[in-house]
Amino acid sequence: MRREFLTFAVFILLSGCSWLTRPSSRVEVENTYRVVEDPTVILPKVAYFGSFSFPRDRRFMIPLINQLFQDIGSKKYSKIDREEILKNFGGRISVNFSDDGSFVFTADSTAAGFETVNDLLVSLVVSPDFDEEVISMKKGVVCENLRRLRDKPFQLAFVTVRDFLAPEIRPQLDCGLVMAQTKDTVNDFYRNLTLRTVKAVATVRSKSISSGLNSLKAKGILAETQAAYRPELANRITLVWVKAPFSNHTTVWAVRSDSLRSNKRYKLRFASRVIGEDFDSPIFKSIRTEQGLAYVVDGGWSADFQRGFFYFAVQHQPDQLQKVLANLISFVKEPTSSQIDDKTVQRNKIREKRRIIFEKESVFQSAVYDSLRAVFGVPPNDDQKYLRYVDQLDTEEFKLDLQNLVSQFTEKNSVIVVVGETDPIEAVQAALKDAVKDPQEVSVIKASFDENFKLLY
Amino acid sequence: MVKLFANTTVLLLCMTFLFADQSSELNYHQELEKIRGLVGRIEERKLENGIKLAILRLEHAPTFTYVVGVRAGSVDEPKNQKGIAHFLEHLAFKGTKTIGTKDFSREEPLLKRLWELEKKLVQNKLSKTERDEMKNIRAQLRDLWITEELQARLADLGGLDINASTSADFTKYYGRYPSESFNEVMSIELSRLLEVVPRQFHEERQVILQERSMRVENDPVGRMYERFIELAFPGEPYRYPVIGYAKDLLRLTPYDLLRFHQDHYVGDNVAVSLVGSVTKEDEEHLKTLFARIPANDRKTLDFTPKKRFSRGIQVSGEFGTKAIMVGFKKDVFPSLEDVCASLASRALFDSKFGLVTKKIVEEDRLVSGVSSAEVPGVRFPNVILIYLPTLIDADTNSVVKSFWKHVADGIFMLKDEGLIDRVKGMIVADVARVLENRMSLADWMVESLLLYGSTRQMIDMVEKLLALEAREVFGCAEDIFRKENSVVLISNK
Repeated sequence: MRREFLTFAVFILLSGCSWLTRPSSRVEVENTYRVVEDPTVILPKVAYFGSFSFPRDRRFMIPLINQLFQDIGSKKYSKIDREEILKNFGGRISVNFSDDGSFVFTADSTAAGFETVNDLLVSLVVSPDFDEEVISMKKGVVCENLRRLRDKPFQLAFVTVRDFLAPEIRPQLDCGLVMAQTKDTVNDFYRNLTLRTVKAVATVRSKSISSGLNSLKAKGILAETQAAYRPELANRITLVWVKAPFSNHTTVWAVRSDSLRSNKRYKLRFASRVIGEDFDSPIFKSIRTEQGLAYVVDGGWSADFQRGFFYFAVQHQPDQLQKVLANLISFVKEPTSSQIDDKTVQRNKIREKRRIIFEKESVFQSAVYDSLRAVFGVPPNDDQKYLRYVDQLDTEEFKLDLQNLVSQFTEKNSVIVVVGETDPIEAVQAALKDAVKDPQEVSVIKASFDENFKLLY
Repeated sequence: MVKLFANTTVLLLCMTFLFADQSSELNYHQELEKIRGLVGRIEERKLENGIKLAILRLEHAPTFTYVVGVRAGSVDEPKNQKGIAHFLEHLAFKGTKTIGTKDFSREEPLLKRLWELEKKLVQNKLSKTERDEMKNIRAQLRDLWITEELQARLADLGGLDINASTSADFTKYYGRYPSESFNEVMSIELSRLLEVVPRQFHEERQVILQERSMRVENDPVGRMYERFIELAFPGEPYRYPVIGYAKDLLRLTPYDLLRFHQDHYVGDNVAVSLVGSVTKEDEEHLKTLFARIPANDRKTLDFTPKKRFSRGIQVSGEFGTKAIMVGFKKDVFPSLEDVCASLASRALFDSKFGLVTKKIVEEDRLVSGVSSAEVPGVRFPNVILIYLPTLIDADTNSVVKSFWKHVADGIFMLKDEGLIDRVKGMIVADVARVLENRMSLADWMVESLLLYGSTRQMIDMVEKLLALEAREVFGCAEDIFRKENSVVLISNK
């Protein structure tokens, strides 16, 4: 009975990483290190997180940098030292930069080796040794991952959605660019990364974490970026057919939305919950339960700290595309007549209130999420504020907001991506015929791969 | 042995023992004590009808996580009904005689007539009159049904991760809830263990066929895996895919599913694990509820499992990806061989530090990574599967050749006590990570109850592993990781 949850798929897929050791005029270390007691924890653990900035024209470097951090050593610990330490203490470290400008570095290990493992993590980030051999090997791995993206229709669909709805951060999935990198270009990229904020949460009080924070110097605040739509998208619906060898269709219909730091975040979070996140959501019930059209039916708000989008995703047989779209159109045209009534809203309010209690299960994780939000200007007690919003929410006002939100799908700037072998154009146009005012508003783009696994439009 | 040790480990690297100046046992002693303490706190009960229950009380948050496990996996399916266990798991969300319907007494005759007509529909034998009748019945049923009521009620109780899964060995239902919802959640769980009503049977079959299309027909690795288990388990129940075959799924009737439910959802086949804030009153309530499940004995499977392949097999084909799967047959826990094989496998094929991984990924640069797992289940002798996604410019035959060379070299290195000691430490750390997560802990508890009758085997497994000496690991690796005991499936593109 599994259901595929696709939220964040794209952002996770394309997350990347990087770093900086630039001197900074002011180092913020006070009050950025929280020690939490978590009774469920057996292995001591630490998470450093924050924001960073990097040259936007080199986004293809992020996956490569993340890959490199899985294997490199540092000026202090060689690659072999790193492996020995981790093996001796059952340790795990992870360095992950995301292209929304957030990063998380984590370590855990047995208590006997925790100080050493943490010191290793910090030294990797502060003074990495980008070895020529490792770079050469990892370029092949990144390219292979790009190649295998073609076996994953949902990832492919979301990459394309993201490319159209947020072109300023288009993924630059291009093996040619990756293969052209050298030790010099990798070092240059890394030197030019700037840490903006750094915080730490740990389950133990540790000297090496305090000194680690001192080493991870940061400056400034990461600005929020706003981007324009692709010109192709202006005031119209764009159908992108990614022709790929799948006998079924993976269809994602999306509109641009707001980020996790937006002041609309409570509204979007609740709308997302009501529309698509539970098994009894209206689109799940109509498309899957009542008509048996698809196994994967999903929808909602997917966002990071810089951007977001609202989407519906369905995987189905090609001959059902028109029917699937008809269901979605019927919903976006009049969501409140499609089972989202007062009772549904009230019901979801109660669910949200009950579910908030789970944040107490893992003190460590809650502290990490809370602090990461704070890095981006979102108050640490944001979940409680969200609950207050839900509690006071006026049902009629919510229904109106929801109508405005989903009407974007047929009114302007939306993108429908269909991944599959069978031509979807006629079916999409037929489904949209009565939903849009002017058929000319629907533009069609065929996408294909070049020899560097880059999607061409 | 349960999934925990499935993903492998280590490499003995040349030579800097810079940080190996104390024995690994000291390195993980503290964690081992915590693990023993935690597992020691698990309380076990057995009801008169055979149902087993394990509870770990964690009071710091007013929530609980549960897994209800049923020994009803794809291995238990009758001939020509492959996929029935998974189909039943889907239908278990459709409700009962009191959930999902406004009036079951009116619904039942309509349902039965609909099933007859739908059977004809699948066989293309439906007349026009019958088609109209079917349409009419569906319309009446839509008025009677409360679609997804069971799901909605669980969500209303504050549930998260409400879901279920079917494997070769088991079907499991699980979720996380506020403690205040305990009684109602368990009542709903009980109701579907007692009875299911196969509502929307025809539609759900379409959903499952679509799921199969996603997981197998449209996934190169899925296609490859289906072929792999056919090759690895000829004549054994593990050879069939959990999702089943389209031809079987189309043949199944609601009555087949009801029969499978009646045969397998019985006392001795059911176990429940609870982790979190669970009171004595909650426990008593659960025991009273679950005592209503019939006490029938489990059915034994009539076949003789083989612990080794009789000869090595290598097959090539095109599955839409360039990759290699290599499988080695072995016995399962409580056989000591299982523990030994897990340790050796971790040393050789760990995705990061495995002796073979380091060579074939970093030095030879033939594959983008190495992953390993025990498949398809843990009730009968199974296979350690190694997956090698081959780089685009590498030749698959070279990968296979190189793989065998590194396996032979790697096995020789397993004689090193220091290496084995450190792999043990890594496994202890992994066990700790599993126990830190409530859902994975509850899952492990329920599998232990169904497999061995007690969660004590969880710690027994770890203790046996820690007691192994390098020469024993070397011995079992030599016996298991050899060509004569392997199935190799090569996908050239």
